[in-house]
Amino acid sequence: MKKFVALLLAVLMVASATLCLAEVDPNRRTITIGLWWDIYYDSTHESLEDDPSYSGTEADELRFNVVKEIEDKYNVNIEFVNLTYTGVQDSINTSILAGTPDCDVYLVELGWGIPAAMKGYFTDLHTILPEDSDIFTKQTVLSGTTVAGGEEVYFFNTIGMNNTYPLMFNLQMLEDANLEDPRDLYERGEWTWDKFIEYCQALTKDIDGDGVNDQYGFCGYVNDVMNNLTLSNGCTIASGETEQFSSEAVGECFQLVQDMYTKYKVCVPYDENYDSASDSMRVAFMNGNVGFSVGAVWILNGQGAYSPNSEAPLEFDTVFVPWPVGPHGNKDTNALMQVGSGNSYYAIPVGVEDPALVYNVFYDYQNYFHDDTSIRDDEETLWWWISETGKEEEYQRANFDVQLLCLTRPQVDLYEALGVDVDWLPLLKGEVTVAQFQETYRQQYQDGLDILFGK
Amino acid sequence: MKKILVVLLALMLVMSVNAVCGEEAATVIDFEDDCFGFAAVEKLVGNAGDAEISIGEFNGSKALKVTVPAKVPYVTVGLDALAGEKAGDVRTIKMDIGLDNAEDGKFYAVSGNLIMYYGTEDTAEKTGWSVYMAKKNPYTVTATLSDAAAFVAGANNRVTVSKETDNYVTKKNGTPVTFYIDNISLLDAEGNALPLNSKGVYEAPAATGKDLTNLYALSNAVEFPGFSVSAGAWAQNGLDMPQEIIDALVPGSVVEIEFESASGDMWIVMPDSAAGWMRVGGCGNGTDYVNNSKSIAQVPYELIAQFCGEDKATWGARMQCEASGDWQVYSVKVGTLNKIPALKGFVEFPGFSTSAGAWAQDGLEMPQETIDALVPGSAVDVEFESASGDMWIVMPDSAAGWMRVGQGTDIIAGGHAYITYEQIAELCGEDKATWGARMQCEASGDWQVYSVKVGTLNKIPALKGFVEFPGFSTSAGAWAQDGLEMPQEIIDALVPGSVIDVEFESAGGDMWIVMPDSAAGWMRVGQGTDIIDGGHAYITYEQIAELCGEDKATWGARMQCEAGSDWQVYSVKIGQR
Repeated sequence: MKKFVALLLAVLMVASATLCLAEVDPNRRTITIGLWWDIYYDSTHESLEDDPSYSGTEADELRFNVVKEIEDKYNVNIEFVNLTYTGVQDSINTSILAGTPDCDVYLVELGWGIPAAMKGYFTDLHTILPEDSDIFTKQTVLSGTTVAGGEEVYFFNTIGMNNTYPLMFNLQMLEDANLEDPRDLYERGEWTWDKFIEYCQALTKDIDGDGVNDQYGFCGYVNDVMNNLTLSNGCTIASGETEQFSSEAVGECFQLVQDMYTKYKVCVPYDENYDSASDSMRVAFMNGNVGFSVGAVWILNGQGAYSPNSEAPLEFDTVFVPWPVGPHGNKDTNALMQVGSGNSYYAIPVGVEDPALVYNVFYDYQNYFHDDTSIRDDEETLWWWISETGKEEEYQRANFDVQLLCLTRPQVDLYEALGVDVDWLPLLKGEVTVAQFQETYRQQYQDGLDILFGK
Repeated sequence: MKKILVVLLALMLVMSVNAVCGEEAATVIDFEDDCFGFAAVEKLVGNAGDAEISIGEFNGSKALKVTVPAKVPYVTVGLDALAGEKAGDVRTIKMDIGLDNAEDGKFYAVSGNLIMYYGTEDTAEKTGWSVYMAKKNPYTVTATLSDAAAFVAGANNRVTVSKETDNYVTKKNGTPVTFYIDNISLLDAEGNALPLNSKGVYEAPAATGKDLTNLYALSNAVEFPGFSVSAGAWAQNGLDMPQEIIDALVPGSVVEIEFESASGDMWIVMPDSAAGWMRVGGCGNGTDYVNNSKSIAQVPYELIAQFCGEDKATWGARMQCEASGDWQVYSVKVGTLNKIPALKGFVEFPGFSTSAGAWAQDGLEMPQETIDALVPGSAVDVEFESASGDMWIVMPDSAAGWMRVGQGTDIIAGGHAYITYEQIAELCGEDKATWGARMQCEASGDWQVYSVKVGTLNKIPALKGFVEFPGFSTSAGAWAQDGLEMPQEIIDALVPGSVIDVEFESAGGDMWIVMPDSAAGWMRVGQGTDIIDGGHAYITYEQIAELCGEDKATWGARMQCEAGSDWQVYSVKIGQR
C-alpha cells in the first residue's frame, strides 16, 4: 500500500512538474548526451565559472555562448549526463534494446561500442545525413569512422589532436643519396611499397667496408610497423566479427616485413629483448644512420629531438609522409590512423526521435568555432604538436599537416585488445613462413573476437 | 464472522513474528523484518571505508542502508547464511539498489561492482552495476557466475557489493551518497528463486596480514615486552626500556608501533633525554611513517638521534607513546629497516605450491624460464606462511655444495620472502649454470609455500608527511585519462625526493600519470617504469622532471591518471621519502 501511495505521489509530482514545464515551453526538447565524465558547458550551466577549469580563453567563451545559440536555433536544451562508465554500458544495453533510449547520443569505447553497433543499436549516419555533409567531406568539425569493412558510419568524434604514426625520414640522408622527396612521390601516387623497398635498399650501406652495415633503410618497433602496414595495404586484422589475420592482404604485410629483415636486409637488427624493443626500435632513428622510421611527436619529443630545451637536438631534418601504398591499398582511400578498442566515439542510438536534429545539434555544439579552424587549431594550444618535429618552421608546418591528414582518416582495428600474445621474432628472423605464422595465431584472434562479440 | 476473525488474528500473528525477525523461507529478502545478520561490512581491501549498515526507509519500504563517510564501501552478503545447503545452486544474484539524493538535493550517478567469491579457493568474478538516472532509481542489478565457475555450499562463498564511483564526490568533492540494497534474491541455473533465510548470520573474516603501505619492512625485530598501554589525547604513557631494546636501537633500525588512535596519528616521547623532554615523529609534522590504515607507525633511529643526540646513552630510561586523540598501543618492536621490495616483470615458477615440516626442504626442478629470469638485480619472491615466520630457499644441487640462501638475511614482508640473485651468487657462485637443477624452500617451523616467482627487484619507497590531492577519486576506460587541476598544496609538495602515491585498481594492474599541459608536451609519466604494489602506484618527482623538465612551473595545471585497461583511482597523495 505504501508503495502504491508513493507511486501515486510520484506520478502526481511528475504530472504537476510537466504542467509547470508546459507553461514555460511545451515544445522544448532536451538533447541528452550520456557519457562517463563531466563536460562543460551545457544548458544546465549559468556562468563561465561553472567549469572549474575555466581559464578565460576565447575557446571557453565560444563554448559557453554556443549553448545559447543552439537553444535559440533549435528550441532545445542540451545536457551532458554523467552516467558513469558502467552506467553508459548498461543504458545502451537495456534502453536501446527496449526501443526507448535513455539518451540521444552516447559516448562509447569501440571495444564495446562496435559489438553494440553490430547488434543494430546505433544509427548509420548515411541514413540521416546528406552525402555532402561535412562529416563525409571536409570533416571540419566531426570525423566519422567505419568498422568491419563496411561503409556504415556509426561512430563520430571531434577533430582533435591525437597520436598519429606517419612514416618519418631523414631528409638529408635521402638528399645525399639523390632520392626524390617521398612527399612528391606520394602526391603523384607513386609512393608504393616497391618504391619504399627501393629507397631502403639504396640507403642501407656498409660505409666503412668492415662487412657490417652501418647505415640502414629502416627501423621500427614491430607493433607500430604492423599497425601502419595494414593501414597502407587497405586491410585490418580484427575490425569485425571475422578475423583477417589469415587474409591475403594481411599476409602481404607480414611478407613485406619479413623480406625487409631477411631478404633485403635493410633494417637495423631487431632488438630481441621484448622489454627493451619498444624503446630501442623506436629511437634508433635518432642516431642519424637510419633512413625511415615510424614517426610520432611523442617519440621525437621523448628523445628531445627538436625540443627548445634539448641538450642534443638532431642535426638533420625529420620529415613526415604517409606510408607507401601496398598492393591491396589505395592512396585516396587508405586509412592513415589506427584506432583501437580504447578509443572513444559518439554514436546516436536507434529509436531516437528525429536523429538528424540530434546530429545537427551536436554538430553545432562542437562547431563552437563556427568553421574558423584557426580557433579549433589554436597554435598556442597545439604548439607542442607543431613544434616538436623539426627545427625549421617549414618542416614543423609540413609535419603538422601530415598529422592533420592522418586524423581525418581513422580506421578501427581491435587486434591488440584481443589478448593474443604474438611472438613476432620468428617471423622477422624467417624461422616461420608467413602461412605458418598466420596459422599459429588465426584461431586465437577468432576466439578473441567471438568473446568480444558475445558468440 | 468467526472464521474471518480467526484468519485476521492468524495474519496479525504472522505479521508480528515477522516484525521481530523474519520468516525463514522467503525467496526475496525485503528487510521488512529488520534482519540483516547475513550481511556485513568488509574492510579487508586497502581502499575500504568505514561503511555502516542499518535498516532504513527507501522508496516507501525498508531496505539495507549503507552509509560511508569516505572511500569505498564493501558490503558482503554470505551465501551460506542466506541459502544454507542450497548455496551451491546459486548462479545469479539479483537485488535493487537505490540512492539518496546528494547533500545539494540533486541526483548523482554512482557505480560499483558485485564481486562474487566462489569455489573453495576464494576465487572472484565481478560484474559492474550502476544507478545512473533519477528515473531509474532504484535499479535492479544482477550478476551471474560464468559457466566455468560455481558456488560451493559451506565454503564461505559470498557476494560483495562495492560502490566505486560516486559522481557527487568526483564532481563536487562532497560526502558520498547513501545507498540502499533491497529485494535480494538468489536464482539457480533455471532462474528459480531459492528459499532464503533472513535470520542467517555471516561473519566477516578479520583482516589478515598487515597493511604495510608507506612503511619499511622490519627484520630481526625485538619485541618491547609488556608495551600494551593507552592514554587520552596528548597524554603520554610508556615503559622503561629493557636492555634488548636499547641494544636493538642502532643506526638503520626503526621503532614500530602497532596502535589505534582517534586522530590516526602516533609518535614516541623520550621524557628523560639529556637533550630535554622530546617528542619524536608525528605531532602533525609528519616526520614518522604511518600506514594507510593508521594502524602502524614507524620512527627511525635517525629521527630519535636528530632530537636526542647521536649517543643513545643520553636518551634516558623511558620510551613513551602519544597521539593527538585518545589512543591505544598494542605492541612496540625495534628492528632493522628494509625497504619493502616489489617484483616487476616477474615469471611464475610453475607448480611451486608445497609444504613441509620444520627444517624440512621441498621444491622443484627449475624450468628454463625461471633460470632465464635469474639475472643480476632480480629476486626470488616466495609467498609463504610458516609457524616460525621465517622462510628461505635451499639450492641442494649447487656445485659449491648444498646451500641455504637467505636464512636470516632475506627480507620478509607481508607473507613474502625475498631472496636476491646476489645472495644466491654469493653462496653458489657467479655462474648460475653451476647452481644445480633444483630450488627448494625451508623454514624453522612448519611451512607452506603458495607460489614462487622471479622478477626484477624494486624497492617500494616508505613515505611520510602525506599531502592528499583533494577529490582525486575517478575512473575511466582503458587508455582514457582523467584527473584534476593541481591545487597549490600539491604543487608545493612536489619537491625533489617526493613520491606520488596513487591508490588504484585496474583490470591490467597497471597505472601511471599523465601531465597533459606540460610545456614539454603531453606526457605519460611512469608508464611501465613506476613501482606498482598492493594497489598502489608510486611515481617519483624525478620521473616527472625527467620528462617535463626540472622547473615544475612548466608542468602545467593538471595531473591525470591513465592505465592500459579500465581503471579506478581512489586517492592520490604526495609523500616524502
